[in-house]
Amino acid sequence: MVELAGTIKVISKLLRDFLVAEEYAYREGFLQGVDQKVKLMAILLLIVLAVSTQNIFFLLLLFLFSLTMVLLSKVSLRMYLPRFGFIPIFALIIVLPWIFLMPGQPALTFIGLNVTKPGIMYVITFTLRVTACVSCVSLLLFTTRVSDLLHTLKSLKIPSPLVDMFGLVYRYLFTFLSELERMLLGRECRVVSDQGLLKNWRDGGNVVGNFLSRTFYRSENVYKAMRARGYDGSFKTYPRNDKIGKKSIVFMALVGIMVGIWLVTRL
Amino acid sequence: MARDKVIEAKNLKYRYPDGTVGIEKVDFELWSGEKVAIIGPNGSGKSTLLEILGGLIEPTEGYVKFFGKESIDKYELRRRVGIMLQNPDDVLFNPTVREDLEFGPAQLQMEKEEFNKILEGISQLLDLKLYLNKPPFRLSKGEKQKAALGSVLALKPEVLLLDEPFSAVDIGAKQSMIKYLNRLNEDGVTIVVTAHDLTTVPLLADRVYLLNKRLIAEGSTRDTLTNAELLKNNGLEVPPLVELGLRLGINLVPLTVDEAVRRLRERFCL
Repeated sequence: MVELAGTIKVISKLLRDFLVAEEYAYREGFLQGVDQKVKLMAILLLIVLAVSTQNIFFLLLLFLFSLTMVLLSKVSLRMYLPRFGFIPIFALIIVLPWIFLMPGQPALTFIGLNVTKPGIMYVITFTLRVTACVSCVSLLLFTTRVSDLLHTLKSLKIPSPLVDMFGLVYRYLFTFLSELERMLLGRECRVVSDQGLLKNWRDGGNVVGNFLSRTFYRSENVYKAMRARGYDGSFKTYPRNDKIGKKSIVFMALVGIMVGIWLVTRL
Repeated sequence: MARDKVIEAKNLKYRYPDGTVGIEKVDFELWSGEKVAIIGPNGSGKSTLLEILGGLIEPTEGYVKFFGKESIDKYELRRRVGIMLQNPDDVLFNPTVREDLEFGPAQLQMEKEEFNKILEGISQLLDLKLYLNKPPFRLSKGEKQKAALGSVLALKPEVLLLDEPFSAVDIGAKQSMIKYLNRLNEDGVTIVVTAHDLTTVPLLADRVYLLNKRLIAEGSTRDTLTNAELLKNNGLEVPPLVELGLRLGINLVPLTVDEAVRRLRERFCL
């Protein structure tokens, strides 16, 4: 139970930190001023470039490009890097055995196992690719309000039920996590000794059952509050930027340069 | 000036899905430009009545007429009647306060320019400017309550139904909210509030409905709040100023501090 509570708290904190990141989407930075559709399409294009190259130089450049955009968009690197840093580390751990498994010329021997050159290159390429992709996605999320993202997805003709479902899950997720946190806090306040594994698991079952009924009740009330303000089953939002201004053109030009470099590296 | 009947409800009964009766035999009338309070102890059915009056739930028995119409389009109802639920956490579910404020106007497809003007006014009056880009869970309960009120006001409703709007705000915020609501009322907005703490009722309501599952009494704020026996019998605390006035045998029992000062000066020649 203690472990479960701890895990939930960590997940909740991560998600809430992510929400706090939405504050950056309101800053008057470079990417915040770029048309949402242009931004979404351009970042998707950058991701496609990242996954379709094995050139380390290009991947490094793409990562630096995303960091530059972060700085131009008035997002603090101290906030930005820790948000996605764990994903490349996780990717590195997953792919690391390939330095031994990939056939090829040995570069060095480590505890009796050959570390191959192609293996090293594969691990570096894979990790850099993940880093560049995640950095690009984070860039989009840091500089775009979720409601703008939903609006853009709808305007790109993504099926409305799918977009609305994403919107609902996103909104309800935090509501439910706060409910769960409150329940666990209430329990924690009254547990004065180690209950033993069996009791803890039984308590865990009670918490899950109670959580289910509380979330149901809560979702009813949230839905009521939504209906009270005119919700009819489809989210409507105000778009923030609908005009392709100077910033959009500059961003498109920069992405164009990246595409050019990608093409050169393919030659 | 002739006033229109805004809401008329007759013989309301609401039974929860588990069979518990929320309210029964409740009649309610609201005229445009009025300020009305629904008072009663915890669990007396105030919130249930308010949700029925806001068209959020259907009564099990009885009927509600809005603006004299037998039936009303749900969008017209949402546009004209704003309801603020008791728990601000239920109202504020968007990633930022700003998005919560724009949620209603966006659903009702209000022009963005019009909404921006409203947003400017609301955030200034309710002191929300600093919180607009913050996620609601970072706010204190009082701030949340102000943001929840703002999210309803953003719809510019003609009728405002507020469920315990001051339950968590501090004294300063409470006073400014009351001032603001009174100003809205002067501009023609009809206001209904529920309360179990009666000290704010005289500042915000001219007429009172006393509810305790059934309708116990209906009358002017003065008549209802100075009836100590009625209040005590229905699990409500008599406001301290009323208690003081009654014990001192002051003719016109004071309901507000200003009134109390005046009456005490008259009574004791101060």
